[in-house]
Amino acid sequence: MDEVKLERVKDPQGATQTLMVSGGVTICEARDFRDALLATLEDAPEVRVDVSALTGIDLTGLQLLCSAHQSALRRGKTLHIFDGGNTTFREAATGAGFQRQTGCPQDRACSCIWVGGES
Amino acid sequence: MIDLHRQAFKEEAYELLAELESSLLELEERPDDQDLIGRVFRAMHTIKGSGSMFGFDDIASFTHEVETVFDMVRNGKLSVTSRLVNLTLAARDQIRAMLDAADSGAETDLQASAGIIVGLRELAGFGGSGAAATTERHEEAEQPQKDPVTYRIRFVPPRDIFVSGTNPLNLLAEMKELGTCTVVAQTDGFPPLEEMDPEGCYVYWDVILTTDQGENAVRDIFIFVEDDCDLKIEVVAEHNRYDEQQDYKKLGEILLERGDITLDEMKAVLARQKRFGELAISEGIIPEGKVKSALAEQKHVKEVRQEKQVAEASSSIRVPAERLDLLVNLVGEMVTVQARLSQTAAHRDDAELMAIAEEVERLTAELRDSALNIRMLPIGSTFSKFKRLVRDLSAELGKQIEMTTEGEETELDKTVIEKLNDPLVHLIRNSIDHGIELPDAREAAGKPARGTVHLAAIHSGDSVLITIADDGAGLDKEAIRTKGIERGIISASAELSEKELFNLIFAPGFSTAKTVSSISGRGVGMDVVKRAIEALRGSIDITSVRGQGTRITVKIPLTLAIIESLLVKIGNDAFMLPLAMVDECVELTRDDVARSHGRNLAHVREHLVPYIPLRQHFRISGEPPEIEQIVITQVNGMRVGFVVDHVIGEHQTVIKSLGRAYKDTEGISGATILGDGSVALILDVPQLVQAAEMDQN
Repeated sequence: MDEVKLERVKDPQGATQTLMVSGGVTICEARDFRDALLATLEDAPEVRVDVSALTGIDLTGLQLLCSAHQSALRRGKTLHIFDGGNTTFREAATGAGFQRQTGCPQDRACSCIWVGGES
Repeated sequence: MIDLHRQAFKEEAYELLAELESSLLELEERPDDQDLIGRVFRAMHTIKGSGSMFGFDDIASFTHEVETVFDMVRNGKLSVTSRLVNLTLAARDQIRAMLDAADSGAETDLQASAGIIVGLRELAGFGGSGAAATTERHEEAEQPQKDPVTYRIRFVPPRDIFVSGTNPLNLLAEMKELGTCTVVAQTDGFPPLEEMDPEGCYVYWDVILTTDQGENAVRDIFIFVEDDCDLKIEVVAEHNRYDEQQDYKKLGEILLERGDITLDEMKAVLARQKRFGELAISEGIIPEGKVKSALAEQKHVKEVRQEKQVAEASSSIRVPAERLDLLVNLVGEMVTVQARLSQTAAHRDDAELMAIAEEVERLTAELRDSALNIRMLPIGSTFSKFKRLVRDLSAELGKQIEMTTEGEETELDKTVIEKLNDPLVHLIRNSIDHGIELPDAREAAGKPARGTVHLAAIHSGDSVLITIADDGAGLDKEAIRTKGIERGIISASAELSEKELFNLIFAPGFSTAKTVSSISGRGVGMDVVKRAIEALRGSIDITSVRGQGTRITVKIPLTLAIIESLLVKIGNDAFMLPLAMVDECVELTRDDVARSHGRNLAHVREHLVPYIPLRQHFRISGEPPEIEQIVITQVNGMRVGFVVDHVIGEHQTVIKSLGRAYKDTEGISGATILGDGSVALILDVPQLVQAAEMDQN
């Protein structure tokens, strides 16, 4: 698995901040990944996590994404996942059962990251 | 915590090894039994898996090699031969040695491990080179069920599952291999991101799996994590039993079944709408009776399923033996207190108190029986250990011996079973060593070359009879007699019955043994065996026919904790005699004593019965009453009386040990506390008789 790269890119308009995740996210990188998600969430009202260049993700990574989304909702912020049709990411999410008809109980805005999503 | 897990693993591993041994021995007899092969494989698989989880890496890697070979057997690539069984048994012993060594920190014999592995690899055709090819997950050996069943599985892994090295995703993937599978990750337990331990597992899963592989196949997937995780497997639909329903259960029903909403919550939601039945009735589509009938059917199916769940929940739990001992001890004290209560109640003549005392008595009796029952174990596990002994020993001696067993399900107190092990090992060794002849000699005597040792257990009243019967040469009466005279145990002119003659082999000093320290070593005297059995308040009996075989019967009480006994008094002291040994009580007057001229013999219905005056024996001061009592007991087929002042009556006795300081006290096997709080000593009848015999000689 390639080494993970976490890069935060600010949108020129200012409202959205994108966290570019590339390489593989495993339990070893979980702490860094969480901190990057937290920092991005602190900084901007709209967060976009770009996982299109992801080459692997384990359960810890998926959990963090889901928890980040829940935290964003609680803070009244938004968080989207952009996977760019990344099959590795989609298969990992499907395999772990993160794929649902409706969102989780926290997801009152029907923005669950596992339902549909951008492509 | 880790130590606790390691300990639990070890306990489980010891059990698995015992099971493995018996499976292997059975496999030797029925090499084609797929079920047995599957059992051996699963035992190895579990030891390997949990071994590596709890840091027993050497065990895990060693077991892996054996498992690999058995996987080939399972897949029909290798057949079961006696060499394979021998090697696997050796491997089993090696794993046991490794487990033992893990505690003491002793080195394990790596060469032995390597030898076994090389042997196994040669057998498997790997020629000892490189690691054996293996697949991590295997098809179930058991026959697949024909009709698929849908299971609902809720799998809540422990928070630290990643740290322990298990990836739950692999488990999910394995489930997908079993059949049609829907996996839904549940994320409602997630803490806010900042509080989340990145290495913890917060997600849990609901899996709906339709498979024809059976529930065991599903459970096997979780075999390594089952103890730590929360796993619930329920059947939601059996596609053979129920007609395929067009509509599956209602959404609310499923949620309720899963425990995701409570009944009240569902009712609250449902209350806002009219029920289907009510609607149907009010619309006039169907009469009320039809709806009620349909509802009854619904209720029935639900109840049937609920019962099924209750049955599933009532499986077994593992409890340390000390806790059970504590429980039995407490129950013992309870029995004593209850006796005091009954006595006090009777004394006060208070009807209300007596009613309470009776109720307590009934409850205590039930409590006592259940507590003792918990410690009961079937003797089968001990029997299967002996199969190995017979197998190894007969091979060593060049004899062909088959061991047959009967009554494995007979239950005995755990402590009794443990203490019975060594004497039985010795008796079986004797049968093999001295009883059964070499094949040539057997054939010359017109017997089949293959000898038989039959081990049987059966309940008989409050005792268990264990017999060890062989079809060997039988005891040589003349040889025993000669040896008895030689050793000075009997005089040359003694006239002995067959029974007495056979009993000589239990006499101390009869055996040619040089060491008496280790029962498992050869040459231990039969007197040690007899003492061990008597320490269990049991007895041992021999019958033998020259040329046809010997049968040894060991009679053992069901439990060591409580006995029925006869309470007697000498002066102010109370004593107990085990009731099982008591034949009858007769009076002894001063005239009787005078008539026998100080020879301690009583005339009972034309027979002379020797007696032991206990007052004298225990040097109790004071004068005996005019009419004393002789309690006549049956010891080794001989009637011996014990003279006491008064016989009080039957008594249920909770046995207490005398403590270390008095452990060598002769003639007393324990003590008990009477209803009034005083102590009564329990007489060791066989030992008293033996001591009296020695005195006379």
